[in-house]
Amino acid sequence: MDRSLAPPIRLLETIPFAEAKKIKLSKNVEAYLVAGGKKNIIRLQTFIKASRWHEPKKLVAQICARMLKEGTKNYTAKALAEKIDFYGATISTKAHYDYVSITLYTLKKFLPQTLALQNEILTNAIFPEKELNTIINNSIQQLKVNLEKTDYIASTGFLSEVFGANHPYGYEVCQQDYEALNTDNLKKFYQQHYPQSAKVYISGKFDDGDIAIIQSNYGSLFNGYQSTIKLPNYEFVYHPTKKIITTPNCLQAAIRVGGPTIAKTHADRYCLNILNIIIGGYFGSRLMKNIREEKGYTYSINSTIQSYLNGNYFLISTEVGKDVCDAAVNEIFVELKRLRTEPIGDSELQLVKNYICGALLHLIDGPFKATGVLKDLYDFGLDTRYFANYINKVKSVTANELLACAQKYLKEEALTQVIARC
Amino acid sequence: MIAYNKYTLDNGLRVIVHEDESTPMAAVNLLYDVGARDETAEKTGFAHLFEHLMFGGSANIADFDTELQFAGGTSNAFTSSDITNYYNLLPAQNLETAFWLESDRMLNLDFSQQALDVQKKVVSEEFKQYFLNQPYGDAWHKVLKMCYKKHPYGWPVIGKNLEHISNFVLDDVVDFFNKHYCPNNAILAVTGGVKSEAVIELVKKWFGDISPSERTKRQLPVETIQTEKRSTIVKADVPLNALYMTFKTPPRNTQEFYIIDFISDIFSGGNSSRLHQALVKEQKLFNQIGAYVTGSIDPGLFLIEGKLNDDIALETAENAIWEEIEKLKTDLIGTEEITKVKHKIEAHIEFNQNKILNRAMDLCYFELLNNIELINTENEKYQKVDADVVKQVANVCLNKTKSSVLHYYANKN
Repeated sequence: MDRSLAPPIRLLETIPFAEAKKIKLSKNVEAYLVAGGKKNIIRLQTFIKASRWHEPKKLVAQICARMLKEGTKNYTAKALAEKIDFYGATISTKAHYDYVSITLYTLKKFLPQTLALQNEILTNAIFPEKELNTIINNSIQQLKVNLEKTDYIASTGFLSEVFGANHPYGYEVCQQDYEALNTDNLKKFYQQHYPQSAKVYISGKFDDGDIAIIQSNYGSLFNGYQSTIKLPNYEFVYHPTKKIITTPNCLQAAIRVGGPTIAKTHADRYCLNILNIIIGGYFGSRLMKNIREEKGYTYSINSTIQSYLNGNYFLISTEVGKDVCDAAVNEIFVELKRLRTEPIGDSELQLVKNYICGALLHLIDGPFKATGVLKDLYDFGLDTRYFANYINKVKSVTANELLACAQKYLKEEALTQVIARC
Repeated sequence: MIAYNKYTLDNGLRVIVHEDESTPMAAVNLLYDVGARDETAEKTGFAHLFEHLMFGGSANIADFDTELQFAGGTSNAFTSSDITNYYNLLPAQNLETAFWLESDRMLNLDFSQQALDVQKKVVSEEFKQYFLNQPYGDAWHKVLKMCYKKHPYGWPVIGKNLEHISNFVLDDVVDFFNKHYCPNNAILAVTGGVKSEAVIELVKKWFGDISPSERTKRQLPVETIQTEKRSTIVKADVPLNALYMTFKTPPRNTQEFYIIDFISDIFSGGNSSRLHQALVKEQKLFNQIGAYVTGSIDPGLFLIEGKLNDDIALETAENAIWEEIEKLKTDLIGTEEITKVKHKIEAHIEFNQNKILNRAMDLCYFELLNNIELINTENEKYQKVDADVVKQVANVCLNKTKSSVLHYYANKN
C-alpha cells in the first residue's frame, strides 16, 4: 500500500436538502416543520418581531426578553422556573438584532405540559419591579466584566463604527442605559409587539399528534390587532475609519477589520462567500496559514459575512500578542491585497471548491442544524435552490471572476479598522 | 438504544462502529489514552502542545487539514487531564480519507523544528487569550494548585506557565510520540451513514500494519486524604470579587460519582436550582453562581464558583454557601426536587446524544472506562439516585476539613 497516495474522493453532486413543511398554526402564525433525529426530543422556536428595531429606547427589547420568565399572572419567577425544570425542559428567551426568539427544548413526552408553560411567557408576563432590579444589577455587573475584555470592546466598537452609534445594529450600551429602564417601558413594549404575529420552527422527532397539540396551543395566541408599526428610518452614511481604543491593561490586542457589504440576495454574493472562505472562512484559510501557522501571532483568526434583515457586513477578527499587533494588521491588508491583485492558483481553488461542497453537507447534519440553515434562507425570501445554485457556482467559478469580485467588494479604502489595545 | 459493534485489531486498536442511516455524514473520533496527568511537574502543558503538532505533518502527508478539507471534511481536537481526543466530520462517502490521515499520523509524525517553533507561539497566544488576558483567567491555576499536592491534576492542561511552553525541544516531541501514540493506546469510533463491515475492513487496511508499542502501567501519585480546610487569597484588577470553593469527588468509574454529579445539579441545574434561588434571587449575594464536577478519571473536583455583588463581603458569601451545604447534609431532599433533577439529566443526555459526533466521542470515552454500555445505561445510574444516598454522599464529600477555598478580591480604585 502506498501511503502517499490519497484514497479517491467523491464530490457532492447535489445537496439532499429538503424544504421545511410549511403549515399555518393560526391566522398570524406560520410554522415550518423539520423532522429528524433519533432521540425523543423536540425543539420549538418562536420568532417575534420585537427587536432593537422596534424599541423606544436602548435595551428595552433585550431586557424585555430576559424578563419574560421572571413572573407571570399565574406563576412567580421561582414557581415558573421550578415547573420548567421539573419537566427537564429549557426555555430560552433572547433578543436578536431582528427578532426576539423564544425557544423551547423539551422531551417529547412532556410537550403538552411544557407548551402550557411557554404560553405563560408569551401571553402573561407581568415584569415585577423586584425581579427587574435584580436583572438590571446583574447585567451591569456583567457589563463591567465585559468592559475588561479587549475582544468585547473591539467587537462592539466595530459595529458602532460601521452602522453608526445610534443605529439598532450599532449602538453600544453603558450602565446608565440599564438604569434608565423601568417596568412601564417593558410592559408597553410587550403589549404592543408580542401579540402581533410569529414564525415558528419545529424540529426533532415529532409526529402528527404533537403537531395537533402545538396547533391547538397556538390557535389562541398572536391574535393581536395587526397594526402597521412604522420602523424608524436610520439613515447612516458610512465612512471608513481607523479607531484605536486604549484599554488599561492587556496582553493581547483585539483587531477587527471590515465594513458594510452586499446582501445575501445580491448576484455577486456567491463569489464574495467564496472569497470569504479563502481569506478567513476555514481552518486552511490564508489568514490562518499566514498569521497563525507561519508566524504564530495568534491562536485564531477568521472572517465572516453577517447578514441581517437591514444590513450586512464583512469582518475579519483576531486577538494577537500586543507586540505583534501592527505586524498582524499589516499582514491582514497584505492578504486582502493579494486577493485583489493575484488570481488564485489552481490547487488552492480546487481545495476551496471541495471544501465548500463538503461544508454544505455539514449544514444538514441533524434536524436542529438544518432548521437554522432553512430559517436563514426563508428570512431573506430564499429557499433551498439557493444551495443548488451555490454548488453550481462553486463548481464553475474561475480565478478571474474571484479577482474581479475582490476588486469590487474588498477595497482597502472601504474598510474600517478597530483595535482595542493598551 | 444506541447500537454499536466493537472490534479489536491484532495490534490492539479498539474500533467501535455505530450506524445511523439518517445522516449523509460520518464522524471519526480517535481517542488516545494520554493527557496532562501523564506530564511531569517540571514540563507541563506538553500533552496539549503535542495535540497541536499532530496537525503539522506526518510520515507521508504534508498537511492534515488541507487533505481533509479536500474531501469536504473538518477536524479538531481537545486535550484534557486524562485524554487527547481527535475528531473528524466528513461526507460518509469520503470516509476512507479520514482513515488515511489518522493512520498516517499514528504511524509517524514529521518531526519538524519549524512546526514546533510556530506551535509554541500559537499555544502561548492561546494561553494569553484564555488565562492571562481575561479577568479571573488565572483562577483555575490557583484552585488546582491548592487542591492537589501530589497528583498531576494540580496543573491545568494548558500548562503551569508560559516558560514551560517555550522550553520544549524536539526531543520531547519524539519521546512523547513514541511513548503514547500507538494503536494499543487508542480507541477509534466511527458513527453516521456508514456500514460496520465496510468500516472494519477499511480500518484493517489503514491501521492494521501499525506496530503496537510496549506499554507500562500508569502509576500516578495518590493524594493524601485532606484533613484541614485550605485557603488562598488573590487580589487583582478585576471588576468584582469572586469565590471558588472545591471538594474532592470520587473517581469517574463509581456510583458515588453519579451522586455527587447529581448534587451539582441540585445546586445549579437551571434557574430553579438551590444556589441560584437562594443566593442570587433571595439573598442577592451573588450575581452569578454555578456548581460543577470536573468528571475526571482519578478523584476530581466538585466546584462552586460565583461572582459577588458589589459591597458583599467574601466571608458573608462563603457562609451562605456553607448554609446551603448544611441543609443538604441534614434534611432529606423532597421527591419533587429529586424527580426534577432526574428529568433534567434525562433531557440533557437525550439532547447531547442527538449528534453523531457526540455519540462517537462518548463511545470512545466509555470504552476507555472499560464500560462501553454506559452509552445506554448512564441515564439509569442517575435515575436510581434517592434522597438517602444524596444525604449520605453530601456528608462524606462536602466537609469543611476537605474544602479548598479561593477568595478572589477585586482591587478597588
